[in-house]
Amino acid sequence: MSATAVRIPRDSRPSTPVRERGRRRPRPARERAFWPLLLPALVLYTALFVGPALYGVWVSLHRWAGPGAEMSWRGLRNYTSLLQNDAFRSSFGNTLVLAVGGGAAVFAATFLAMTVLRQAKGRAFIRSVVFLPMIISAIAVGAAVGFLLNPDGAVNELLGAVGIEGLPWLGPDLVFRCVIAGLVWSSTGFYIALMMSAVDAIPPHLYEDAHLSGATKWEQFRYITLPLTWDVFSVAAVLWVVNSLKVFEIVLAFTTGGTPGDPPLEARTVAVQQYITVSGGHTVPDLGQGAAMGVFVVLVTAVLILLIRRVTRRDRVELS
Amino acid sequence: MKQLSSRVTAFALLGALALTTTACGKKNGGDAASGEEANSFSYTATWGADEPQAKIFQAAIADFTAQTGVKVDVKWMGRNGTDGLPTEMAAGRGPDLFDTATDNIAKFRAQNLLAPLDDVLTAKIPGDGKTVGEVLSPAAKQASSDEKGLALIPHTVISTGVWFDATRHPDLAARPPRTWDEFLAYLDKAKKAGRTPLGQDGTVPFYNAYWFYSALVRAHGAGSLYALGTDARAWDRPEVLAAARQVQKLAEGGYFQKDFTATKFPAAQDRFAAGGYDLNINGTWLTSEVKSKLPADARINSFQYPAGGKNSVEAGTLGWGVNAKGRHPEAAKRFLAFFQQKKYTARIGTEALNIPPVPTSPRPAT
Repeated sequence: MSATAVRIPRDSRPSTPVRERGRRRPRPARERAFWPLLLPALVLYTALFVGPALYGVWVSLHRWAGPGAEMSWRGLRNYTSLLQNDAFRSSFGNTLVLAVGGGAAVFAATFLAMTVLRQAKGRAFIRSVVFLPMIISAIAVGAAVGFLLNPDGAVNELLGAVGIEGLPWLGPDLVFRCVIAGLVWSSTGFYIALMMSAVDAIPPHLYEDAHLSGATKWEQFRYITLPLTWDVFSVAAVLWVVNSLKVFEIVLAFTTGGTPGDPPLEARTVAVQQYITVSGGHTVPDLGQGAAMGVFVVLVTAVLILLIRRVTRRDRVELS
Repeated sequence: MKQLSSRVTAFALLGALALTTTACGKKNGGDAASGEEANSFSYTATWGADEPQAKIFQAAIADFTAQTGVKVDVKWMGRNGTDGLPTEMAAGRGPDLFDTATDNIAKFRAQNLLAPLDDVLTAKIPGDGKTVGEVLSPAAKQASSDEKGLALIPHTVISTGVWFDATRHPDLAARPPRTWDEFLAYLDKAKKAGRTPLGQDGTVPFYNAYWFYSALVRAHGAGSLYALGTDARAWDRPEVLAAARQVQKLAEGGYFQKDFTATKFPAAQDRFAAGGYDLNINGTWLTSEVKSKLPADARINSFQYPAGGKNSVEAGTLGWGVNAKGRHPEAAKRFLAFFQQKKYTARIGTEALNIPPVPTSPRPAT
């Protein structure tokens, strides 16, 4: 099979012939069109994204209750107080557990699907089914969670029917694990859809070849599927990290949804903690502290993305 | 309910909590519509159009428009549709009238969005010889104010209580527990009889905290809870430990349903309504929330947490704030005085099953 795939070094670019004669040529049309075409997008992007983002950084250096209130300078104290804030620290710890633990579960399931679903009967149907949870609203999930996971809910009744004692799923010890499980359930379909589209692009004859050579399913996955979908995996892993650091509504769905209460500490993610800070809960909103959390999460996200890109960096395998 | 109105001094506990952070800023007055008579104002409601409150307000608005010619542009947004309201208002595009409550005063005050309402208090209620300030109870006014003055005109008083169904528990109705020992004796008796005395939606932290609030505030009065938010040393007071011990006793005594800390709202209050538990600590809005789950003959009643001591009661209010940056604050204020007519405020008790802030109005019947 290696005969049909070539490794392309990362830095190889098609070489362009050099035609420098030392005299000024009229600039090619492509070059002249560069700024006029780029400028509108650049202006829009700056106005709608770069500007507000920088404003967020500016806000993070102040104490501010929102438009209409006076801003007072706090400097870096919004950041240093984050480190001493137990609620923030525990929510950040939760978020990391979710990103790593949830990510491991999502991609384990995705890899399994990539080996099994490739030639399974009715695979299009199965893919649609596993994708479905992605489009169910958190409100519906929240209502279902009560019916399923309450102490006298359906799950504990099922367990009871087979002689296993039910568990306090939504209690302080287990609720965050349930949130992670819910997130894995709702988002795995998306990553399966993404990765399977890459798997579908692999020519079947590679697998036929491997099959004739006596390769097992695992070997086929290890030596064909994974290398040929590695680029997509790298992107999917980045997407997962970005999304997992923003997890919000599913926490409410599993805890205090339907009440004006704040979710319990043990189930909070950074996004939830940030929302409580910014909306003020039942006190004065602190947009400065909330913005500091935002900046902090962006930095952590950037570091994690760099790490993932570094870890998943391989020579690209391309079919010739 | 009767105890609430007749026995004890109510105080603005939630209001006090909301004041833990300083509100800064310049004074805002109603700006626009100076001179000319406004013939409309806008109202963004956190009620859904189908809720009893919305129906009562809608009826009052219709009468108001018919009698004064002032049109009201209402948006019934529901609970979750108004997160962006303060920002909208600060940008000058908000409604003239909005729903708010004791525990939101600090938020709106910090953004300088609350128009002064003293002129509403002195306004005459149409068809009634009295002013708004005269009919509203002092406690309700206090719970609707912060240190800068009245922040909202209340239509509902909220508090907490320990709730029960008087039809199923006539003993509680005849003689509710008055001391902590009597309360424990009742819980033990119910447990021995094979019932679950207390139902609790334990995944909602602030519902769990009601027990501690009640134990502390009932016994030690106004300021005992507030101190915990302003002075770290207050946590070392013996009464704080005593209150926490009472909660510990309840939690470890097996009085709550099994795994109550894992019970998601509204399972426990629904089961309480259906008769599955004897008691449920909750806000005064409980009856209206569980109405559809109640048996036909249910008579929901409450007693205050029996801690002894000062027997203080927590009180907060729900009501209307007037946008300091609105276009027609005067027209909105006119409606606030108009609504105080007994025919509307009484319906907060009889239809919305909540407590109106007007002592002469009927209490909820159940």
